[in-house]
Amino acid sequence: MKNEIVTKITEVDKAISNIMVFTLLINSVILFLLFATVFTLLGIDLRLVVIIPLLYLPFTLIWKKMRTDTINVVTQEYPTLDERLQTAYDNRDRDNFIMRRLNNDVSRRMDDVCCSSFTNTRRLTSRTVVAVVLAFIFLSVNFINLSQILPLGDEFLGEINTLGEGIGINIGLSSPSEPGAWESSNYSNEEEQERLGGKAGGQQPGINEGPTPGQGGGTGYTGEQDIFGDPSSAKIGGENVNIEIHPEYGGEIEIKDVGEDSLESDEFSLSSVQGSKAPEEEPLKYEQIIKNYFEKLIEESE
Amino acid sequence: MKAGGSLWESTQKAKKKTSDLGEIKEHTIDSKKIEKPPMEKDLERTYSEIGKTYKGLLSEMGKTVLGQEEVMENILIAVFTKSHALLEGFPGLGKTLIVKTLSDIMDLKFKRVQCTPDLMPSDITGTYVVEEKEGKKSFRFERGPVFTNILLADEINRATPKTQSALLEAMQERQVSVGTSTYPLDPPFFVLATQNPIEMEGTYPLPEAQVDRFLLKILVDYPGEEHEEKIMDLYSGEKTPESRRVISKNELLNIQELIRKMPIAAVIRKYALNIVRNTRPMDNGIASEFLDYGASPRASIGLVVASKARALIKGRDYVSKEDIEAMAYPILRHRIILNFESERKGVKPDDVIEKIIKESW
Repeated sequence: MKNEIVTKITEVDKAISNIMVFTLLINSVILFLLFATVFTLLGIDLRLVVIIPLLYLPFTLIWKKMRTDTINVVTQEYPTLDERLQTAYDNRDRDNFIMRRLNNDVSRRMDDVCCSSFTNTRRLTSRTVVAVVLAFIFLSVNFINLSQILPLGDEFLGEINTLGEGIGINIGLSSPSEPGAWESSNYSNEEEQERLGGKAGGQQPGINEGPTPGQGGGTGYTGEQDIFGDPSSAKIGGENVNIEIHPEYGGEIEIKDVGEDSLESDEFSLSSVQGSKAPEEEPLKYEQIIKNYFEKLIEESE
Repeated sequence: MKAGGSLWESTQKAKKKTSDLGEIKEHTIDSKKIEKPPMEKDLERTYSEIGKTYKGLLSEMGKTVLGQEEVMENILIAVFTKSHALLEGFPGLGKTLIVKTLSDIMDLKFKRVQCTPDLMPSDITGTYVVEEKEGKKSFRFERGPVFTNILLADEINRATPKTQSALLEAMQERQVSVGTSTYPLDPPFFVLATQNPIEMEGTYPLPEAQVDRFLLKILVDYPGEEHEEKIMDLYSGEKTPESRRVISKNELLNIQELIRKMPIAAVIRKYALNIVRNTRPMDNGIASEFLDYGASPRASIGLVVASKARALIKGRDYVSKEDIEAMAYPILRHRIILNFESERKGVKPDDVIEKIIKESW
């Protein structure tokens, strides 16, 4: 028959192990968040951060488990059990009436042992708070433009961005004096930016640009919004045409390719474009440009 | 068969021959005298009543001996651990009275030997006397005062080393060898010796080997004023106090058996070991500063056993750190030898023990 004291000590040992694992998990989270924040700021690959808690958790657990003497932990919390428990546990293999009496006494006292007493509530709370704070800091560093919060100079932010670019990671710090820098950095090159409409199409270039505009076409950002959204300007023949197409007109502009009879839109033709100004008020130089364009098309088709 | 028979015959012949010569007397142990191991139930009953018994002993001793509670406790521990004790104190402090009272309350045989320089070993162990019976003379062994349960060797340091050493075998082996015969002593047997720390002229300080055989060295100090006043009243009146028997010889043997059953935690045992080992001036500890020689492994055994006894009489089921610390002083004070520098500075063994105890936990 297994000694009752040994059974109770085993139970306490399990509880202490669980508490230890929980504490170490919180420590791991804190370590992860701390290093993730630092690595993000320094522009180091975030995948490396995972290694730290992965190494910390098992090694610390083994080391702590080896160093933890359950009897000592119990007797520190319950001094009245101190020498009784030590004696009963050390002499668990002996059986005489003195040992039986001692075992009964210790067993009765062990019933009052609460596993919660081995938890350092204060330490756990403080660590949880630290973990939450670090989580906020980490998220802030990643998703908030720090330049708007922190009074950082252009030179400093530039330096950090340069560091980030050096290892292929965008840190995301931009100076208020360079409004387009953030958007530009999302594209690997000028061509990609052009193709995805970062420059020539979409309502919010680089962020929520609309469908990819057709070849040579697309609307650029004008910076003038009304209740219908952003008005756009067309680019025809490499030159910006100051025309405004408002969403209320609906549909899309269809420009037939070279070789087709005519260039027309299902919904409207260029001649029927209605802007805020009357057609007769359009500048003559644009009429000439459009006319030249169509003439050139006809010539090429012939 | 033949070979076996001849061997038996030759043995018998040899026995007869030696018997006739009367030179060698082989002492045969009487089977009635062999103590049977106490039954578990008896032990359990004694154990459950130990607190009551101990209080009764102290109370009964307190009728005649006042203000010496610690001394009485230590003497009882020595008795319960089947060991011997050396009492040291100035004359007139009641050392002999304590031992006499102890024998009374325990219903044990008590003998006293007043040690003097002309005391011979045979005066303690006994000797052969010529006896004439039916016209035939023969040697008969006349037992000495050592054949008792409690032997009080008063002022033991006044006896010659030869006589002192006669006690060695009796104390350690619990037997007496006279000539070629060996006589076992009846259990329980313990020697309570006293010595006087003053008037050292004409004395023979006990050799280390002999001192080591005493489990405890108990210092008997002057009683407090209040107690001394009571002593004056008690022994200057018409009636002298008398003690009654509290425990029987069998109960005492049961208690001695119980001590061995007491459990001790590994950490406490290690503490006891550390204390004893730290008395040895081998490294740069306290011992090397104050001591020339430290305690032997016998001290380690004694410290654990005495602590077990103390735990038992205090009504505990386990040995406490407190027991080890309390027993370290009487166990070690006669086993450590101060160096010249310590003696010059007037350092006492108890001061060194105190430092060692602090160092050892």
